Amino acid sequence: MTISSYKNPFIECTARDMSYEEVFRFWCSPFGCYRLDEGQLFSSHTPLIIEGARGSGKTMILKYLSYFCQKEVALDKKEEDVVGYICKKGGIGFYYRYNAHFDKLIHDLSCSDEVKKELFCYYYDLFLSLEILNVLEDIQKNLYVDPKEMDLLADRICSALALEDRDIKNMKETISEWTYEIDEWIRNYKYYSGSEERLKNMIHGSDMVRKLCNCIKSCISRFKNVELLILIDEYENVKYFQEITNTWIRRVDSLSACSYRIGTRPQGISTYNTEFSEEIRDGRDFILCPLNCVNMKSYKEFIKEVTFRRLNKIEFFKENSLTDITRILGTRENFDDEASRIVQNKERDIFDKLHIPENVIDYLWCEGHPLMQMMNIVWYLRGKQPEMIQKAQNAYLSGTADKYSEDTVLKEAHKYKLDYSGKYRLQLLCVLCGLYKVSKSYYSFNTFAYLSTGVVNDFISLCRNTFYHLDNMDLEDLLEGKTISVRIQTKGAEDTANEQLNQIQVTDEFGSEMYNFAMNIGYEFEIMHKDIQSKYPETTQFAFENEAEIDADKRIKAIKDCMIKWGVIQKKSRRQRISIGMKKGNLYNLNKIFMPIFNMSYRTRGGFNYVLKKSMFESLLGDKNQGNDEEETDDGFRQMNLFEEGFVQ
Amino acid sequence: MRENSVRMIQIDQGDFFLQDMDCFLFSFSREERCLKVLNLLHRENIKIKKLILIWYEKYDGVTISDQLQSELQTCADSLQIIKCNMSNEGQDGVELSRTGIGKNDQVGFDITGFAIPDVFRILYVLNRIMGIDSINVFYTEPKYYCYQNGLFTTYTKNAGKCSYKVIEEYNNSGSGKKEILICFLGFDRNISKYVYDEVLPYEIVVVNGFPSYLPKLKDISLVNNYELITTVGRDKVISSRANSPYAAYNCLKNVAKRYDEELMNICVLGTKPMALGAALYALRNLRKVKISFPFPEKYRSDSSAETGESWCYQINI
Repeated sequence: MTISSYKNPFIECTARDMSYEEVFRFWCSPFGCYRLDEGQLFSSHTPLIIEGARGSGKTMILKYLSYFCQKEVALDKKEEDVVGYICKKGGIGFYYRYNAHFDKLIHDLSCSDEVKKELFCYYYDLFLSLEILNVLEDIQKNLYVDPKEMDLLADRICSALALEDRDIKNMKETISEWTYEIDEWIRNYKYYSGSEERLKNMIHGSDMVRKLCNCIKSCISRFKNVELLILIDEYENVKYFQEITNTWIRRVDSLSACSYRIGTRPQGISTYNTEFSEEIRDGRDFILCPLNCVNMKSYKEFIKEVTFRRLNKIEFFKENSLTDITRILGTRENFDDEASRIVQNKERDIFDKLHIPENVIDYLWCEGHPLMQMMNIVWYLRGKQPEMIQKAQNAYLSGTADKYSEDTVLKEAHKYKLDYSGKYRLQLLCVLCGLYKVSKSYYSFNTFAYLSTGVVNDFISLCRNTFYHLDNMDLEDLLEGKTISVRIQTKGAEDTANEQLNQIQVTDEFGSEMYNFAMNIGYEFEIMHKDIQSKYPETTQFAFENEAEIDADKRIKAIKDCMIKWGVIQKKSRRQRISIGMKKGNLYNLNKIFMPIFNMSYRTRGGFNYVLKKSMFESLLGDKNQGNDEEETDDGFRQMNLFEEGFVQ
Repeated sequence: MRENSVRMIQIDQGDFFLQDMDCFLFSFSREERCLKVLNLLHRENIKIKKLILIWYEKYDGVTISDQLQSELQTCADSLQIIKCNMSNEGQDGVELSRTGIGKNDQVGFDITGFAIPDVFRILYVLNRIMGIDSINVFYTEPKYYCYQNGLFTTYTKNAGKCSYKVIEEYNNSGSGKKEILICFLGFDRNISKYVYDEVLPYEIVVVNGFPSYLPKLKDISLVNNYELITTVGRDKVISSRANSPYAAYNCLKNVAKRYDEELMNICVLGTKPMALGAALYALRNLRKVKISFPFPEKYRSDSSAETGESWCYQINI
């Protein structure tokens, strides 16, 4: 297949813009990768809240639970009894994505809070009712259940929702018309007096979703023991009305006809309050299901499968058997090659840069192995004797390093081995980049997997931006068995990092503060990565000295939560020692997707972490360069005149 | 809308004829071009009964001096100033609806000094609330756009954070219909990608202003929207003339043919004539369309310099 049939397989990468059919087509089971139980997702009557970072696959999972996606699955399996197949799974899902701008629209209306709440609930009822009717219409059309039961159901729905027409299509039209009436009210309410009174006459009922679910349960015998699942995606967008939606979750009990599956980002639930005095609680009112990867191995398997599906749908890749992403990107990076590219036979320059005395150079000199030489220099700068460094290096190279030996050299060689082959390798590379003033390269499947930190969509974005730079020559190289060049992969990683950071900057929820924090703390970490003595190797984690103090400040806490929600920082799932010799607490890391901006390591290293006092945190949220930019003042502003050339009578 | 079925008159070159006006609506930022049309009308002795100036606080550093106020008073029988504060988006529309402009009045509306969401809102109020179908819309093109340090990737019209929202007057929840985002590209970097990420539509159509005011501008808009275009793919980009509302209108009409069943979410980040075309289309198709915009905290009041050509679009909604 020729290069002309090439198309970037990674454009349009999110589940949000996929149809149910596409979700099915691209579906890769995440149940091996995340700690999630498929059976529980379908059949638990207790509401489940699926919490995962932006792009981690929540939407894909929720859409997968929906009736329309399960129908595709059943048809693909050639199941004759589609509804029977779905019933066996234990639940039928009705998917609804909650739009952020819809929330803002209602919140910003110039009307009373009571009216806003009423509008919110009514809209929600209308949207979801429409989706439920869509499912019922499909079931009726395909004769998936007994027509007599469907007739009975139509009667019950008519009476419950005060609808006149028994035909489901017409019911949908009526609901659409009701929705349009409310849309129109919003367009015009500001301009007419008595609008709020008029609205009351336009609301045709309440609690419609619950009523519909009751009708379904009471009329369709096959659904009696099946969970009717309201799948609410992007719950974090329900900012101003979460007390209402929390109340719905709280109300689910053994008598309820429906349950909920909620998708939200970490910190997406801004309040646990309900409209009553009680809060909703994990383990009682809902079960929290965080989308945490079991381990890196399973995550890698998962993303390999995800990318295979995408590559396989493009002729160029399919026909040329280029469907294995590890083969296209390369399995893992080669630090020695990268180091050699950085120094480009100018290994001796480094001694001049660091003013290392001539008589020492020969002990540290290591031709053709710039990383090892860098290791020697770091040891020397830390005060080790040059002769001992050379001996330890030689012993390591000859394979005689021995932790338990009484010979100091062999013991030192063991330390050398640990430092060089594992602990400091990537750090040394970063130092080398700093000294030679070149950018760190980011390439290979392994690197991209680490940069994306368990967020599938970030991995896809890395691939998309990399593939975007491919030209015909690169494609020919791929056909010849080469991997995509380091340069192009690095460019793709940098583009992704910048794209995500820029996107954060423009958000209305503390966009500048989040951007400033990422840039400022990234800069602090970058300095540590360049530290010639490598005192704090590969530091990318931080903690708060007194997190209670941070949380007591409403604004600062809101910013911190927002950074977690937007994935600027990631919170470790378990409490750990916040730094060497310090108490236990929450640890955070700067999202690794930003690492290419700062030429930093994608790995997570324990030990030392950056500990922030509140004042320091506040300062990192501000623009450190403030005041340096050219600021316009009104002094230079000239009031315009209508008549430039004098007054015209 | 066929372009030749509506009049588009260049009013800064040679003769043109316009009727006297009952009302002339305008606003201004710190850009010279905002007052050019009024100046031209005054020079041509076109009588205006009522001049309505909408003064937005959201434009940085805009003030009205006594001298300007007295100059404006010479242009019309009366001058009304509507001051809109930062916190009340939509105040302009409400105040305008109370000005007593009649259904059959001759109305002129100079969109040059208005922000795009305000152009949409005011046209809605004039047409849907006040019942005015026929309006002379004026617009003066900029001569240059201002780039910080001369770099075109630094162009910015918006200042501060953005909040993507539907313009209330064009609200349409779509009743479960699939949503198509039609995004007219502007020069603000990252904004189009932000809009796309907020909407994440079923499908997107990206409209680039081509032919543009200046040949290089079409490329600048592609470069400044690189993030969006690489995300959605180049095949989603179509063109529409940057200075023609009718081209924008026809472009939307063609898109609508392709997406007959879907809800069209139109977001104009491009030029004001494009916004005008989109507004005309929306006002005629309110059941099918919603209009949204990434509302910034503030607008830069000097994102372009000097004045280009001035136009009058005689529209019938």
